Amino acid sequence: MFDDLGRDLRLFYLSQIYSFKGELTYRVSFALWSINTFVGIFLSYLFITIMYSLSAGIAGWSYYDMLMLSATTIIISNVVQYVINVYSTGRMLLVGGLDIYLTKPISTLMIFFGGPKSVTSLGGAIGGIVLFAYGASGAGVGLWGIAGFALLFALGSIIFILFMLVMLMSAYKLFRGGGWMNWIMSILGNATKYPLSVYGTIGPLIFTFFIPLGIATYYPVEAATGKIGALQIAALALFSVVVIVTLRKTFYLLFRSYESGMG
Amino acid sequence: MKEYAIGFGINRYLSYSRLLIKSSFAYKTDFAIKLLLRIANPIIMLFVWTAIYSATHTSAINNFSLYQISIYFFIIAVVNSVAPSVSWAMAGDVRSGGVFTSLTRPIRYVSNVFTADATGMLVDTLTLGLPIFILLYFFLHLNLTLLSASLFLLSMGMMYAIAMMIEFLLGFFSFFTTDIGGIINMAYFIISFFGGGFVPLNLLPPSIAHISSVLPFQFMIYFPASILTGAVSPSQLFSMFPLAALWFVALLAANFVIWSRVRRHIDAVGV
Repeated sequence: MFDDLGRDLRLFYLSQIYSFKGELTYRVSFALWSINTFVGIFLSYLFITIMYSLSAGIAGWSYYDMLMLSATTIIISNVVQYVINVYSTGRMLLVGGLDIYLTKPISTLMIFFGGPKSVTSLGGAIGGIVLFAYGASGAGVGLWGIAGFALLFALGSIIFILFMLVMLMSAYKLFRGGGWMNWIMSILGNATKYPLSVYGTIGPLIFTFFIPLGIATYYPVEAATGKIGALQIAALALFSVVVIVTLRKTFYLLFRSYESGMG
Repeated sequence: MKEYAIGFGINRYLSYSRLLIKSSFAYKTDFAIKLLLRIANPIIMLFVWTAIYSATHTSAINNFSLYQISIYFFIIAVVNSVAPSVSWAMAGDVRSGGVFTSLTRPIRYVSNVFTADATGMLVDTLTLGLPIFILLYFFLHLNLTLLSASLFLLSMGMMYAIAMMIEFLLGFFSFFTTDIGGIINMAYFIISFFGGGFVPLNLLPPSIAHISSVLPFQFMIYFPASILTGAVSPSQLFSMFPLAALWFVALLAANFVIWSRVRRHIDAVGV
């Protein structure tokens, strides 16, 4: 089992190296994508600053809390984009591009994770961390807050990635399509960059139990800012593990419907 | 050269357009999902701004009521579904070498790209823009008069003309660098921010609003979206026409100059 894990990790590492080399071949494109990423982060910061200069903002959420939430969304969406390229993987499924990988001794999940990487996504995640650090220092987040954040964020990231894989396989199984998966990812990212409380009582329920992305964005920031305590963090962590196991099983179940070739 | 002139050989473009419409309707599920996704963002903004207005305990922020801001973001969804996107198509053509094939055909490349986009615009207007508009009319009780509807259509025409010019300019970059996705996305961010896509321009700080007021981006989002909210009066709109016309002419001239240089620079990759 550990041999398999070692092999998969080495493969993941190699796929990153080749993606880095490939992307850095086109330096101008790389520079432009990087600038674009940072412009996006700066405009998010500007939007929140304008929103809070015009109004009292969102009840229970200070300016710095909102910066942290926006930064967390930026980090998670870039991490997900880095680990799995939803668009190209969707295309690969449709044209039978997975066939050749299925004949190799690689775990199924690694086929999805080992695809081309967007190096600029890594830059975006770093930019998000800088914004988060700024927000956290303004909000006066302590070490325990950061620890609670890190735990829920790590589990939430795994949930987000597995959720996107399940969505991808569902789109393939139901519609033999999914060119709109990037849109779904962007809309879910947009929806979770605001406190879930804005959607009333139903919002947190939907984004926890049905589309469990709040676990990756909303709850980690709530943990960091002390809006939820240690007991609630532990309960959320336990719930996250259950969600991870369920999503993983669902993914493998859906993957059985993959048909070779032009399926 | 006669067959290359606009007006001559129009049937070729119409045939091409008919073909595109047929292929567009081949994916009906995609249409339904795209419609749902189009209205997702304004719904999110509706919730967010409701929470902001409620926490601020006010009925209007900078003379913009919650009702107006809700309508505003839904109309942006309509505007976005009509807005051109030729830059992505051009970038794809250059990368695949399709631009080179197009140049050997008895149709102009630029006209070809325009025809494809205009057809897409027509299809998207009917299948995405119109349903959102109907939802808006019946569920948010949009106050539609003959004057406001005419002005809205006029501003949409203005939006399409200016956006098309900017899209072509962005697309021309693809002849000089391999991947222009970064440029296009960055441009969209800037257009959205200075055009009023993030927040209506009258809610922006005065310094940023002043910069926006001289840029062409306001005609691409803010004006079409504001007319039906009542935030922009007909007289204000008419007073902006000279600036819009000036921008259109300047962008058109820039397009002509750059295209004449691009034609000499064409180097299809075919990857």
